[in-house]
Amino acid sequence: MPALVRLAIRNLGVHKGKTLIVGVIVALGVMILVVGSSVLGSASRALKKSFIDSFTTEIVVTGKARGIVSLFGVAEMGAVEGTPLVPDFQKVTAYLRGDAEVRSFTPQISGAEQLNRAGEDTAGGGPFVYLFGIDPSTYGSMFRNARIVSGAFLEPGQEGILLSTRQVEDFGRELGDTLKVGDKVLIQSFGNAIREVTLRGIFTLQERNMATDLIAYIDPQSLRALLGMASSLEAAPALDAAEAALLTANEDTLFRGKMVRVSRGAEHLPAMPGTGGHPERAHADGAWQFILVNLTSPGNAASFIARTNQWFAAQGIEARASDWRAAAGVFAMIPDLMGVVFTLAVIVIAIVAMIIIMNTLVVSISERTGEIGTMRALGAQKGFVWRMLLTETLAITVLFGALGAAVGSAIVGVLSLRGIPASSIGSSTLRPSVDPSSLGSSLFLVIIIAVLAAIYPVRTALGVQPVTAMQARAE
Amino acid sequence: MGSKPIVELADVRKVYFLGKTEVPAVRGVTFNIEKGDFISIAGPSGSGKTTILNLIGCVDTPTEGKVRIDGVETGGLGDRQITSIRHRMIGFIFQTFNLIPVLTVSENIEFPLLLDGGGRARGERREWIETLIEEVGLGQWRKHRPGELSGGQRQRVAIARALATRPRIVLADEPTANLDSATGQSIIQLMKKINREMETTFIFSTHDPTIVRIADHVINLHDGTVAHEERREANHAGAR
Repeated sequence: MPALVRLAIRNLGVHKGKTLIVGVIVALGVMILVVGSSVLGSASRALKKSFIDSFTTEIVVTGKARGIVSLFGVAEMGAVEGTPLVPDFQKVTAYLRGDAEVRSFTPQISGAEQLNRAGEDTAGGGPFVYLFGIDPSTYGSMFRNARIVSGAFLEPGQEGILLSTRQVEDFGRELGDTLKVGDKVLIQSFGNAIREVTLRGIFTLQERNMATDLIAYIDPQSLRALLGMASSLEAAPALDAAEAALLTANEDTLFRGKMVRVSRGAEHLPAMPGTGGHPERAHADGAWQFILVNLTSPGNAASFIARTNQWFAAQGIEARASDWRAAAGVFAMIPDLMGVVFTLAVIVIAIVAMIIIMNTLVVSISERTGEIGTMRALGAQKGFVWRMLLTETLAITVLFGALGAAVGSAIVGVLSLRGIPASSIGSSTLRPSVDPSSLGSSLFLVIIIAVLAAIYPVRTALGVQPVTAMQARAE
Repeated sequence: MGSKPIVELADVRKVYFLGKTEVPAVRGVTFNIEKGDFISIAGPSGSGKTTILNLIGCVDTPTEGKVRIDGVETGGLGDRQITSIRHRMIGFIFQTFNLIPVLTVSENIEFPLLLDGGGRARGERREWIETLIEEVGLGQWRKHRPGELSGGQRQRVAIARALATRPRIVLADEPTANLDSATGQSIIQLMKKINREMETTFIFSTHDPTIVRIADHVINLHDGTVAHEERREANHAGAR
């Protein structure tokens, strides 16, 4: 065994009290890091799987915007930006169909709306939902999270909405009505458009997370109308007599003074982002905001995104392929926020640990000035003293760090066996596992902290003059 | 002896400061020490013995004057160079033994050899350590730690450690002060034996007249100056 290591280990044994103080702090630090990073890592993986399985898929293709386009809108600092359409929809879908890596895809539009009871009394409002306008012919085969408990899934071309049991309960609680399949539901958009749709089915979620509770499914035509996306070609046949009458009616005569406006979609088409101001073109291209793509090999998502974006650029198509994180929008930031909170906690713990370790080492070195002075008198260069004290610090850190890692792994093992209730992140029970890389990084981090904490005490030791040896007491 | 002195002190002064008060410890000391000397720096407490040893041992620097070790003036050297001189040329025997408590007798003696990365071959190093252990009569104690040894045994370990790097000079600051008189005598005799066998220069401070009598060369200090210097060639023959 090298002399420095032998000296370090024996010194740790002699100074048991101080070794224990520093060691316990190191062990606790590694244990907290191992348990925390394992639980967070497992939660993050569970959330990712839940999001991918329940509504994002691995890849989402969107139109380009200044901000990040998610299924819940465009995230841009200090500005409001509409969700763009996927440009050249037919060309893009043809490309996806021809790519061997693409297992399946489905188009989608989405918007935040408020449910209300149908009929004349539209005062107040019911629960807010995030409506996903879907293509029933492809969506149901890609996402099997919603299990119909009443009614049926939407048929292709069929008008209607699907609500979750929880949304139906919220609706009943807030508006006093018990919705049944076949009932009409009024949907109010934030752009003041309204639309009455038929409740076609009620579903429960097999896998829930903080996002899925908000999601309801609607036929794309109705949602386009609510969002002001409907083209004259498609909107005209969808109007029944009552709706047609609304086009010429006066608001006051219709609603007896209640301030409600009808959708403008059927008579006037606003310019939509990505369509160049031509809604007919948007319609011809499909007028979808998203294409959700499943790959045959999910592990190839990054390379698929890069390749697809290169193709978009080469073709001059203003579209972008992104991963599930972009699709999940703000919800994907939740594990990141949890990570930030954990990191802040770790930083606070690290600072406290550093101060305690530093003070302990300073006391230890002040008790060993005679020994250090003797070594210097015998010809030890400052570098030798630095290496000796660093070896002692590393010996404590590695020994107790390994102990902390073992205890942390055992705690993670127990948590895995018992399970952590985690319904909000898409898993009824979270069973964390130790990531070997987190073990290594935890140990590395604690070693860095210990070494940083040792700098000041070691500098103190390097200031010990050899003449101190002449003044030492008899051992 | 005729050859170049191993230690030269020329008009050396050392002043310590207690707050704003100047305390002169050495006031213009000049003397030479020849290679192979067995010399006692004697004098009462406060006469400047330890300060002189510290200056010769390169653990302190003079306020004025010159200190030369084997012809090298130590005044302008940096920490690395001065440490290297201490390591290569000077062995220390402390009044309080100053052994490293966590190391065994054998490891303590070997310690100075590890400071330069253990430059010698391991086998050669071990053989030399065994020679030193036998020389100081601690063969059966080689695996013991300092806490398990008597004061005399500890000082024998310190003597062996001081010789480990084969230094030209061994400095001993009151080496018998913490020992009973019989043990003190045996330690001084051991030092003298090694001085003769290895031709190592021994410089020790003491205020014990019985120890002073064994020295070949005595420098008596008083109030930081050389009060008297005496060479006793007869002690050389007596020791042989």
